[in-house]
Amino acid sequence: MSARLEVENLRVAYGASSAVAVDRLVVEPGTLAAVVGANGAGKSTLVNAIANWSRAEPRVEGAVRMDGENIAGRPAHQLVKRGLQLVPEGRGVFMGLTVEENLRDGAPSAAGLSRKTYSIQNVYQLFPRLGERRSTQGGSLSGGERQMLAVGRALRMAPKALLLDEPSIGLAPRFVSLLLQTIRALVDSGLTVLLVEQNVRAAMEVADVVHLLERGRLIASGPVDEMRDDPRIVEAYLGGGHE
Amino acid sequence: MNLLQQVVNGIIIGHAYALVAVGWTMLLGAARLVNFGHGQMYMVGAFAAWWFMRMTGLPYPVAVVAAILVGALIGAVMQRLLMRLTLSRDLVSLMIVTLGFGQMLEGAAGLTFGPRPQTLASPFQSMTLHFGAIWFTVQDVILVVAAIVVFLALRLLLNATKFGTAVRMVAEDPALTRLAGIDIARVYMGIFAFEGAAVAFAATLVAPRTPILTSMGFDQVVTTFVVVVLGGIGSVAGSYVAGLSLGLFTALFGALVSPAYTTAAVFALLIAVMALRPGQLAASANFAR
Amino acid sequence: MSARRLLPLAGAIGLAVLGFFLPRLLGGSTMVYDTLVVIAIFSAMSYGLDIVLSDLGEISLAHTAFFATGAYAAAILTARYGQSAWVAMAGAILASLALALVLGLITLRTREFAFSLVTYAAAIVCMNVASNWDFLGGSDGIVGVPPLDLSVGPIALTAGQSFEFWPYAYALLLLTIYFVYRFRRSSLGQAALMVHMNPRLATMCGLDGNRVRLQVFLVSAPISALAGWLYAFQRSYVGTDLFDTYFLVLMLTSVIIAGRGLLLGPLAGTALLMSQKSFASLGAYGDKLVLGAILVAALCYSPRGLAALWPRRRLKVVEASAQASSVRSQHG
Repeated sequence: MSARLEVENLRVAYGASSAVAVDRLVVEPGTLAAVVGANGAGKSTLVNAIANWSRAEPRVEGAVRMDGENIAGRPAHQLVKRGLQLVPEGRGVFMGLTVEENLRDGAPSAAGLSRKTYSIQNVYQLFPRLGERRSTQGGSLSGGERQMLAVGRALRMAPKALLLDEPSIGLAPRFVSLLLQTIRALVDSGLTVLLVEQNVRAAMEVADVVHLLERGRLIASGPVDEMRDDPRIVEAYLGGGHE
Repeated sequence: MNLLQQVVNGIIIGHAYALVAVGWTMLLGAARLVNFGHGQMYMVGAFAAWWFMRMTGLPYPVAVVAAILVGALIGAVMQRLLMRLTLSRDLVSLMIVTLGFGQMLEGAAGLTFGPRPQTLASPFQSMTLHFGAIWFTVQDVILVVAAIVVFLALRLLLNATKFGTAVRMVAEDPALTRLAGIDIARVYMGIFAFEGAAVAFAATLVAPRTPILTSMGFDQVVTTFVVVVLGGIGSVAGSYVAGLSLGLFTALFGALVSPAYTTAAVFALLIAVMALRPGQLAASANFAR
Repeated sequence: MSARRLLPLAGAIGLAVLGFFLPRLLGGSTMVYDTLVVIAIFSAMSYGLDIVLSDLGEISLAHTAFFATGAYAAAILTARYGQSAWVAMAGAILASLALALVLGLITLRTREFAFSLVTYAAAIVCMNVASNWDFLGGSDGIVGVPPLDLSVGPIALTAGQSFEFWPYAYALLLLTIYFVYRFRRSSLGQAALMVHMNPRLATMCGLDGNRVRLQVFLVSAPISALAGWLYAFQRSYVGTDLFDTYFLVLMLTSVIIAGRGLLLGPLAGTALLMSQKSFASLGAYGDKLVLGAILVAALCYSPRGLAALWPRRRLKVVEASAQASSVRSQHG
């Protein structure tokens, strides 16, 4: 059984400066892998490069494979159709569209898809708050609701692999654990998730595997139980989580 | 001087302005692109209809459809040319390219259609209707009705269809739209084709009023720009209201002050608005409303 | 003066001298003279746009209006009021400054596409006014501009025929290029570049972005106006065709095609385009088509200009000058 996501010799650069240099990163199907590290470690860059998406113009080289198939360099909207979904950091919803509109359009037709699909009702079941506010504009939602909507939008694309870029930013701790528990439940029912998080503690509560990124390089990887006691992770607690 | 007649004229001209501006407002609101070739595209629309009628002998309504198709095609060609620049959001270069594109259209039109003024002969132009002190032509009625229909249809398209939602997404955040699985190149293609088709359509309806020349089109750019700015960039309803207001303004100005300097007056109006409301030129949050 | 500074200076002087004899070297026919005179005049016109576009980073579409203002001022003052060419020159400069002041104030807070649109609309309005106002000759324009007479005292400086215009056109071109060269090294020129590259940083260095913009705009207008002034004499007729977008696109293309910010860029661009028009013309419409196509092709396939074949060099020059000015303002 091939890995859901496989990254090999990935090099990402902005202009002349190298942002990410990862030799190998593997995410097994049905697992939740967390990528942690301090601010500026390159976590967002890494995950954006995997999805071949960015708000800037980085140079990306290297191999990215999903289920054994090379997907590097393909346009982002095609990757979405193949089941790779990214929930980007910051703006992940359309402010000018209502909750319902954000969820409604763009979803692939369920017919012929071998993946698990999520209807709008499914999303409302997962996030009841969104159901209550379905006619509200994206711009009028709270930060936590927007993040739920962003995840909901991603789920509507019937992803095989979901990449989450710092979903906890700006959210109240209660919201953070609620969101991550929901993600964990999705993983338990078969979804593969690569979670980028600055909040190391919260990430390790739901992850199966943890990868530590520092200055664009992967310096430690392992099952969450092993990594918990790793001194470098402890350092990341102290170094990365500025309260 | 018949004030009521001027008001009627203003309403008619206003609908013309609004219709000429509708494609431009979409392009600017959704793609942040200023199309300096707009005036030339207007000119080509009028000439395409004229030439079609001359060459095939087919009646005016068919020529209108043909002109719309030509316009859409020109829009599509523009999009292909500009695609790379559009995606990299190099707005400055995009602007200049449309200027060059407009020159190309002017040159090509001159070569194809010649320098002499022509008349786009619509049978409805000579059918006049009188109501007491006021009069207008059937062409005017068609123009007004067409403008209203186009605006309503556009509003419906943008708010109730899948493509319309995609356009609104692209207008707000093209990068995020890609993550939603939408091929934004195709959305842009639709927007550009709409601009081409809409301005050509407007041209075929308005041009029968006066002789057409391949050197025309510049005044259209100024009035279109003013309509879009006054109405709020990207706002469909706003463009309609602004077009109408501007039509009334120019009709009354032309009648009460001087018909020759209306363009200057319109420009002065624009300056006044900009001075009083500097935020007017920012992209409107009311896109598509 | 060290040899390192002497050499480029000598080279520049040598080139300038060679340039003066260029028409003779190319055969000396009337057509050659006419073409080169027009190239010199239109290049000078383009340099006005160049400093706004390359240094300030804004696309001004009003420079045809400045060009026309210079031409109309020259025509009216000489043909109608019998003034000398020197007075006409002063008039051209003043009129263009007045127009630039008005436009500059109107567009003070506008940027990018709004700025371009307003300047474009302004140029169209100027054309509109010129076509209708009898004072400006209406749609017939103003005829009967006398031959150029810049005689000072006993020194006769006149020009009536093509080859007589060449020294004046060439002198104008050289003066313009030298002016732009000095401008780019002046504090205003450096300030413009800083405001263009990083407006917020510029403000923190104490620069008022709006004032700099206005000043650059004011400096650029007379450059194009002087070109128009000379053009009035060369053609001895001034009309609304000066407002034609053909000139606008010509200016833009010549500034952009070689690469923004290159000192001789506008000259090279204008020379290329005018040579096509003179020696390989396809008729008025054909030339428009070709010009438009060149502009479109240049921007679509090489947005930074043909000199972008050496991209690193330009960036270093810009970075160096930006750094130099920030260092200067820190210590200033």
